[in-house]
Amino acid sequence: MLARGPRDIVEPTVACVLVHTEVEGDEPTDHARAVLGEGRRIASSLGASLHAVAVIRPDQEVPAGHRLIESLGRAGADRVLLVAADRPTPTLWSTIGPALVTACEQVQPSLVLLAANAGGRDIAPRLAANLGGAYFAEPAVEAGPRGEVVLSRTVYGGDLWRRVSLDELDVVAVATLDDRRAPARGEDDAEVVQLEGSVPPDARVEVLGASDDEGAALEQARVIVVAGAGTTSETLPLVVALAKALGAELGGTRTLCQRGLLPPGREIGVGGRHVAPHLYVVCGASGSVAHLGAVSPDAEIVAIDRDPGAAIFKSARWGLVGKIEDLVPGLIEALA
Amino acid sequence: MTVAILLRRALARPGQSDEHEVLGPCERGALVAGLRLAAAFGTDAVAIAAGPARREDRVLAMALRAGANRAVRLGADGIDDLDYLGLAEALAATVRSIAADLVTCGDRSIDERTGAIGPALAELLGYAHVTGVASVAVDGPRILCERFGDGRRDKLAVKRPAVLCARPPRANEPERETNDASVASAATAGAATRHRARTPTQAIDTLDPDEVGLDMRRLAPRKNTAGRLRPVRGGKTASIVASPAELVARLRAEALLER
Repeated sequence: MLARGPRDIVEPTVACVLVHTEVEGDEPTDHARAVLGEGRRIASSLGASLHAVAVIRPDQEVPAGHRLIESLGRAGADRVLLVAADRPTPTLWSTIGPALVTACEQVQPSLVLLAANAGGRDIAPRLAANLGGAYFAEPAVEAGPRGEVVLSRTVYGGDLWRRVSLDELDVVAVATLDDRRAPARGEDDAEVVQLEGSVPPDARVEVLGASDDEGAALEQARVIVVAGAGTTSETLPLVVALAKALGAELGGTRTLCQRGLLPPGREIGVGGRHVAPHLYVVCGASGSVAHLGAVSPDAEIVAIDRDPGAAIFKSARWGLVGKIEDLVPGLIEALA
Repeated sequence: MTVAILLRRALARPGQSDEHEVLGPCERGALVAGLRLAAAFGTDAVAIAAGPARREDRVLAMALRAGANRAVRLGADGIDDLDYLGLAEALAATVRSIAADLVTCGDRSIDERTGAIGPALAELLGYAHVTGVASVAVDGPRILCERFGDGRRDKLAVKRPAVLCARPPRANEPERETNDASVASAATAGAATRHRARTPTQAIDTLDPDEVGLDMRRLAPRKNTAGRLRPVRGGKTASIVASPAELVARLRAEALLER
């Protein structure tokens, strides 16, 4: 367990935003920079300080002036909190969750932000429960009419918003954020606080190994073309060619993958991959909640379907009505 | 030892059942995984749902037909208004009441898509948890899980007590590899519809909050932390474009094309 010495005492602040910062090498990940950027803007709005917490190896030396500290300062952090964990990877609750609890106990944040990736989704709700806090998965962050910070997200297939204003909460809020946020530009003089000791992992969960995940590029893709149930083995090559012409990743709905036309790792849906592209081109899919529930509400959707009454057109920004074999060749030609 | 399988009726709107989906895809994964683990450990599987009978009994009856030994419904007024932690507290009390040391639940519901109940439940119970579980197998006392995330497949071994948050059986993967083929088929909305007339609702135990040691008044503040629901104004409809060339021109005008 952690042995806390006098140098570990962090002065309480009026309000504090804490951002879990994933690190690769000596640099925060791009996603971490994006979340820090949003954290910086929120902290400034609240008049709060921004703490970046990085979980490091027990043998890792990160003194003041270290490249990581300078990077986190430039990314907007006022203070960097370093917590050592015996097994800091992969990023899961069982590996670093207790270290983040320790960090929260130290700084008593009013808002905790994590990356909305598989690790963040594993950690954030349990951290929220540990803190007795409110939890918001991948909300949009906006300013309310009084200048207050509002977190909102669409639910129930996009029919409803769930919104909360941070100033209405009397508990800590924990949220995961996607990476579509501008990084901040801060100074490189962030204060460093390193806790002594090292936090052990949850011994009940043992990491046996990892292998590549086919189709994982879909989760980072900016442009995705998805083939739905209306795509056949005859028209699939056209959809593949469209993806190539757009420089896009190719995905499929559950129905299409179950028919064996695309591998399971390419399935997009609530039960498959969750994606956050800028542009999402849907070929022959109805637009069910099970499918679009896994697509970021910020994605601009283009729908191609023969049925003008298809539900997908209610979610899309632009639509082309007609058969895939009639429309996609023209689309590829126009893109050339 | 008991395996608890947490189920929940898919909702189209708050409090309103989805006409097309009885169980969301992840809850189907939880049902299949829970029954598979109960069979492998040679123990009972108890399906649990929270909410009114008119909504949740259909889900529990499906679980009984699929092979669950028992079904329990926590009936508590106002449970739908609680946030993730309030609901997790109610479910934790129910899990404790049946002394389950292994819990399966959906990784993410189809309606709220929050993915918070499993990890929060594990925190309240003091159990280990794994999210994004794509497959399970038993290796002695351990449960081997395959988990997808951030560009890799993690292989994990978990010791009980634990909460496993299941994704659906992946497309093209052998959903029917379970010993009981009826599990896979019954864990679909269609099966529930076809066999609805034979639903043994009498076999569903209804528990009051008092019976599981739950004080709903203590959970009341968790209604304030869920956030407010508001309708999305002006439901959008796609702008239908006349030709592929016009579509490409619009995408270029919005700088949405990368090449």
